[in-house]
Amino acid sequence: MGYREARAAIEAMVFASPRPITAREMGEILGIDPRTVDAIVDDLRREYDEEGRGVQIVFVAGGYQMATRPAHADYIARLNVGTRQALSRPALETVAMIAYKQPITRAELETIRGVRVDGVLSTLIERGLVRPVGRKKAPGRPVLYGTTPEFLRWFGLASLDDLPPIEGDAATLPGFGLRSAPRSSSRRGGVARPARG
Amino acid sequence: MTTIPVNVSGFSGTLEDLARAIERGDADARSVSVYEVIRACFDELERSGEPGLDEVGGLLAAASALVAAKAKALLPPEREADEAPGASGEGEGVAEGEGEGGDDDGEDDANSALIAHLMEYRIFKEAVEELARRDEAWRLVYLRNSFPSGLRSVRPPEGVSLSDLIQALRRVLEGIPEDEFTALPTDDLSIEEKMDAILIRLRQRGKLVFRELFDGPVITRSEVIAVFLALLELIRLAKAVVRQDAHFGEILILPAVGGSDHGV
Repeated sequence: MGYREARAAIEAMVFASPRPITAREMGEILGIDPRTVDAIVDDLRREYDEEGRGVQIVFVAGGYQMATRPAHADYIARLNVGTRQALSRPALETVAMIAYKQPITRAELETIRGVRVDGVLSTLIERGLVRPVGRKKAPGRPVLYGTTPEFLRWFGLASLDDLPPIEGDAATLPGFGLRSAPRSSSRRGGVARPARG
Repeated sequence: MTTIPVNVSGFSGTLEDLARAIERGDADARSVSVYEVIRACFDELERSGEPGLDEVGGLLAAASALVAAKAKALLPPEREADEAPGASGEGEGVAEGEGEGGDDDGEDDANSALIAHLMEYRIFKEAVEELARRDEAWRLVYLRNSFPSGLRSVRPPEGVSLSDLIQALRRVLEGIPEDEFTALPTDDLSIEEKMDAILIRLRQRGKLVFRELFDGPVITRSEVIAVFLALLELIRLAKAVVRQDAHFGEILILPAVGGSDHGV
């Protein structure tokens, strides 16, 4: 398969995919190395930027996805497709705690936040940012909650390792169960940020 | 200096002694009620006639020392203070000796839990700020195929509230006897099938009266519930709308205008 053809095929797949599509998936379909896919996507991204196109390719939730640019948000909002509402402060705090400490029970969340979280929790579940991921082996087998891929998309994060770093000594705190060692993703570092303009 | 003796659980001596004992950890801060001790001292002072200025001053100083000692014993030690080099010379009886207070890792469970809690809160606060900025920034970016997620507004029934629907359901249920075999759950009730059935009838007839949904040959209460759930699902998916032309009038079910009905 020639370069131009592969590039066009990748562009088509990223465009058509309803969810972030990984380099590996595309590589398997096209029978080429995922790193080549990454390089081709970079090429496409550069072209979109240079030509000042209205779309961009972002890297979120572990894969590539087509997106608009912030500069055109107003026009799109006027399309009446619905704008997403900013999360409330309690919702942000709760989803942050779930993200860093998942899986976590409601009771544990309430201990940290010092307030009831059931209302906020159901809002987060409704928005698809949080979901039950299992039950804790503890009396009453309470439900454990974790974040979803939609959570990553919502905040433009490539993966959970892409969460804002927290202070070093936090990891040593009792009960501060950080996830296992970060699996570094090859596509990290600014890629996921929405480009301005 | 005050000489009034204090007697509390397992301790006797002056107020200053008590304060020092608490600081050293010889007396348990939690078992000492500062209020009661000081109250007793003042009562004692009053009883002894007209107190001198020195005596009152001494008592106040001792009382503050006691309050400070207890506060220090109960609050988590300050991390930063440990590292501050110039802390030593300041010593003023009670306030001195960071070395003593911040002693060892064997601090109370309660203390470390409190510290952990406060630390977590502070750390999360920063992470939350960053997430808030991201929430704001990515609000302006529309991801392909992401329009419906999280922001699809469920079309409200026109003129019909959910409670109207439930009222109507209740009326239907009133006319149906309890299911005969309720012990075994039936698995032949598929809400999807009921949805399909409703859509097919809607396509044939254009509109349905709410009651008509439930006129079948044999209809059980479980079936009624299944049909009702199917209706709610259709409304949620914007494939059907419900309307009520007049108050207390019949509830009508109509196919959604522009709603696609493929897959049926």
